[in-house]
Amino acid sequence: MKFLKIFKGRPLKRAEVKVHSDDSKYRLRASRTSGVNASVKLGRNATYNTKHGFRVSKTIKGLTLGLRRGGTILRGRWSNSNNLLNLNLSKSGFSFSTSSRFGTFNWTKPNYSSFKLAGIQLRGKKAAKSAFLFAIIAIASEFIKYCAYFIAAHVRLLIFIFIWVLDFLLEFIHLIFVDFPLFFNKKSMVQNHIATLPSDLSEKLEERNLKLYDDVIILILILFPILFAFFAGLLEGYAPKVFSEDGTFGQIPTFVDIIERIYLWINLQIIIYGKYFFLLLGSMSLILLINKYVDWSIEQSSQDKSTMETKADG
Amino acid sequence: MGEILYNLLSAIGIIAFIFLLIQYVRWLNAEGLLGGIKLAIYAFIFLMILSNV
Repeated sequence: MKFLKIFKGRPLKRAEVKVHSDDSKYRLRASRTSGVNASVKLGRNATYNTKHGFRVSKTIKGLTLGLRRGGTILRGRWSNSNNLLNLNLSKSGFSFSTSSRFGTFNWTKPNYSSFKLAGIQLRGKKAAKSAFLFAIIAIASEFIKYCAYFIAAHVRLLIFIFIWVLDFLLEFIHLIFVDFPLFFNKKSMVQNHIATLPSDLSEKLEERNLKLYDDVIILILILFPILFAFFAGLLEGYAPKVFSEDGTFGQIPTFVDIIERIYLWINLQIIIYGKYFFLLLGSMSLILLINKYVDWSIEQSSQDKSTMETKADG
Repeated sequence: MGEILYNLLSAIGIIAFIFLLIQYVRWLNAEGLLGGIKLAIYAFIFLMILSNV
């Protein structure tokens, strides 16, 4: 027998007493609104309650189906990873809600929201406004965080691709000046021009963990517009008037202007060189494939040689 | 001859592009930047490709 600690919350949430058997199979409960009642657990999904009668239910991937006295049960709740978007299902239909630290705001039925602060819980119409405020704050903070990490991750990806392309070019040079001569067994040509590739970076691409620099990237992303604004302001005030026709500096481009220009430039490049995109990608894949094959065949031949040497030693 | 080569290499390029696209979405998923909307992203990209064609 065990008494459940429901008087823990301060200030006290509700007047309720619960007593369970050791395996929680038999339960006794007394509360302000529902009086005294007892219940027996009959199996995994079935209970019998003196007040509510027999009830059986089963939950499959968030969807609850069941039977009880006076009707059926149909419920469902599916959330994304941070509970910012929940899809709720009841007999009256679907609804969307957003959870924050202090409660949940229901977008389709605002009067079905909840809000809890310092142990005091509000539900329904009274909770809607505060729940809405905190839902908006939660969404805004998550959105900013998401944007920061999205940009940081993509900057990291671009650095990674840049390193990878450099590597690819080195490999390509290696292929032409080292591997092909080796492949055609012209050792004298290789021996006179031995070149070693830089080995600072690990061979495996996964081990080149650039996640370390995320904080720096985010800091730069926050600092750059501020610094830009600061220096642009300085320039606007103090720059000598020499650039424009009338001797003025002209309009200083804003950050949005630069982005727009880059966007237009990329569009133009796509229009001019777009048809060669897949061609380039295909040629690169083919070269990579050849490179892989040559590496593999050289490895094979060296293995054969080593096995022959060991055989000769033996 | 040039046209055949162009088409052949472009075909390899399209296959490589689809492969890279799948890798990109997988990477986004591994970074936790999708938040359980992987299928929606695939559908969006698919629709974008369709609308361009």
